[in-house]
Amino acid sequence: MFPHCRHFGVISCFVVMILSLSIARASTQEETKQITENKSEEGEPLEISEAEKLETVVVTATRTERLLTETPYSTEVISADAISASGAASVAEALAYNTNLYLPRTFGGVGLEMQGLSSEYSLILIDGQKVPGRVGGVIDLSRIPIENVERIEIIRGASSALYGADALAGVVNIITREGQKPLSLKGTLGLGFDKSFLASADVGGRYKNVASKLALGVQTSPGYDLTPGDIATTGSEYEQFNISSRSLVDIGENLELKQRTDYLYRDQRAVEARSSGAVFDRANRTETFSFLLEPKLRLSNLSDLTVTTSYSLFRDQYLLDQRKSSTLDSVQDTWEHLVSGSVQWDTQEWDSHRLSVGLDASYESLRSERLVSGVGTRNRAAVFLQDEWSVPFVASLSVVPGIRLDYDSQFGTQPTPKLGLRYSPWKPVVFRTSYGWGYRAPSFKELLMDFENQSRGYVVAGNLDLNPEVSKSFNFGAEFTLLRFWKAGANFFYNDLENMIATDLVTQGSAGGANKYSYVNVGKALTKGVESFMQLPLWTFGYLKFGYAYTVARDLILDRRLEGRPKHRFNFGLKTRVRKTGTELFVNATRVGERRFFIDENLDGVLDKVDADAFVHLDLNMKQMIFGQYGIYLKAENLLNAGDPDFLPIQPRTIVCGLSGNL
Amino acid sequence: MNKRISAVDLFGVFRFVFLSALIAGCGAKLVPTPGPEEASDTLVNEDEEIAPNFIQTSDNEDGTYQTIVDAKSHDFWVLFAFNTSDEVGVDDLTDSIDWDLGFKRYNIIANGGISGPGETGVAALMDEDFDSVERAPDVEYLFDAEDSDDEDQDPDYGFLQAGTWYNYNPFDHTLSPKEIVYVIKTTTGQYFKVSIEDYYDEAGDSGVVTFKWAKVDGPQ
Repeated sequence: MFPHCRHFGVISCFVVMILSLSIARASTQEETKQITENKSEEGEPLEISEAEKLETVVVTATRTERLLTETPYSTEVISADAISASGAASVAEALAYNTNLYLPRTFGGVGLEMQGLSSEYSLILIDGQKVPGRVGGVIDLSRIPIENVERIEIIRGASSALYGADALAGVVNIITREGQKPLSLKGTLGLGFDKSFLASADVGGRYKNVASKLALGVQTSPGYDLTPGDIATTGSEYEQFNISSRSLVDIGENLELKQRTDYLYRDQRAVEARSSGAVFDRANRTETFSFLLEPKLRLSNLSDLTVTTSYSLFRDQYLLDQRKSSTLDSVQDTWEHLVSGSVQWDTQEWDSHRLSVGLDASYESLRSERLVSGVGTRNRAAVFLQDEWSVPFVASLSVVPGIRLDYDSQFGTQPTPKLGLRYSPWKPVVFRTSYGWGYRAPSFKELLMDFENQSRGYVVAGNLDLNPEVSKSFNFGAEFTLLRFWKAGANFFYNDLENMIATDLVTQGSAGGANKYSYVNVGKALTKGVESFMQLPLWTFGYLKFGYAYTVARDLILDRRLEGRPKHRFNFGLKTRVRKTGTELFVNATRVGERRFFIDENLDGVLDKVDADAFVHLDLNMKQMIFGQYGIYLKAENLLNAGDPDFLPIQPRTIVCGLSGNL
Repeated sequence: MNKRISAVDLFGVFRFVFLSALIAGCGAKLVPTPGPEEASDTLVNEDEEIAPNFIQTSDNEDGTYQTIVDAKSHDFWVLFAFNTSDEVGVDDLTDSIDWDLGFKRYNIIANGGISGPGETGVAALMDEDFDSVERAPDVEYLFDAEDSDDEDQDPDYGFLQAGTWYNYNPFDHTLSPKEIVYVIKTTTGQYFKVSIEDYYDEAGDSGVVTFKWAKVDGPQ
């Protein structure tokens, strides 16, 4: 990006640091107090109070607004405060600090594994709407910008009873910010020692009955190479641009209209080498556009009617350009459209019941040269019903039955029930248990693939008779909160998957004929384990957090571990803020245990067990406030330089420094 | 008053949406840069079964030769003779004893058995080093034969007697030659040792077989 000034990042970092330290010392306490934007009172024991969470309103667990502490299903929240403290530059980075999630790097980008289940079994939403663009089952979380994110909500366990397809392992709902204040301006600028660059700005305002917000972001990165000896690169070089707008209009007293538009453009480039000696320049251009319109009508004091319509487009161009030849050149241009609408009625008209009834409908299409006839379409309609019943005479017990019925033009009907229980015998203690079904619809590629590899003579064909993959999941958890800041919790989970889709040889190629592979519902898997955490206050400055997750993930057909799933994950986090000096420190260390892979290392046709080493990912972020509204930060990622080209192709140690400002 | 403001704002919102929709999906098309003009592209002639210039042989000046066969085509066999160390152009390969080996993609045939009227046989030496083979072994030299009752459904070519001559890497779908020394007994009773070295050209295109060979003495 800046070839002419190699040490630009380094020098500017130093200058900014020195300047800021001197200014910070001079700045008065008054100024710093203004900017902390902390809702807690002066006398609160914690300056960055995670206590805020107690008042946090969440939406994902029930598809309605509920207080975090009262949700029937355990919801984890990554708050704007936590995101800002960590200095995360994308949603992927923000999620990586959660013990219960593992974010593998895949062909399709940075994925998300929950409860030992791979990326295609988690539903990713932005403001409750499905994020388009799964590539190889993965929604690339590294492309979703963070600057506009208000909080991220995570629900673990099958949630298809509310959300339909893909919500087997859980749901991640990324909630974006609305314009609130009369006028707000925000900007961030970051420069990395690796010559990465990041800039974002947003303008928000409220005038009379209209609140609007416009956000822009640019990111570039030169990529990285973990094997400098060869011509191939490891991490793609990329440029990204995004623009988004949000509006909230109060039309009259009982009607509110929400609107959201997002566009994201991302170009990635890398060099790929094969053992044949072929070298490719790989380019991947993705564009995402989404539009949402959501009127919410207050029918009475006790019930709301929300109508949501949305459209999203994902275009993915993938080019392999062979050097010195054109034989193996390939271009794939994939267009994915999703139109969806829903109507939801929430009511508390009946004592001790909170009832939600809704209808979802969607139309999906995928255009790709690799599909039979080049295009696949499907319609889906669903009805769901959920009742949150506070059991009379047992004030602390609520029972939440729910059911959803999906009709899909491809595979027919799929029912998914769920039952949840929340019991709090004593205010600091909450028990939650749930049992639910989940399903994943076969993808267009699995249904309609028509791909022939001429050079090797094999054919992959889709299978229109595929059924959805189904899971049954059980979760039982307990959470303790003492004196608001001492917290601990554990959750036991069990997921049983059936009908998993795998490729299989269906016709052995005879002389001159090609082997034909297709997709079949043959797999079975089981994952179980425990997720736990403990949070301790650190005097008045912040807190320490420890997490541990134990996961058993097995392929029941092949009778072996599921590939790449770590059994153990430890997490240590530290977050402090000294208000007097306006200094913040964030440290996070995650140890991911060894992961097993099955690879035919000696090419004898038999898969060998390969255990990739455990690793520790250590990140650090320091932030210093200056002049009240401005902050400078220094972020060190992957300080221990974990990574290897085969099993952990992550970015080596990087240091980024930057400037952020609020008005 | 309120109504007017919201209408104005709504108009603004939709204008923005409209503008955004215009740019959505309009990213420039990615196109590959064409590679240099390839020999095989220009020389493939559909009327002619066998086209010239698909074989290049160079003298390694140590008594061995290196031959590169462009066998990229799925449609025809490229034929080779040790005597001329070059290509053989014949109208019908089943009617000529002038060629010794034939190449099409990863298939290799010898002029004998089901493949041709000659008597070219193949022996495979598994644990031998190419340089140390100075004399043809006193073993049976197999002719290409129909598929027998084995696992695969390919003909039992002499070159497949020790399994495939290559290892297949399922991850990037590439072939790499196994360390096998093949000894060929030609129709004229001469013996040659052959070691297959590569299946790819410089750009990494498949179907280009490179092999090293030398004449050896017959068995004692």
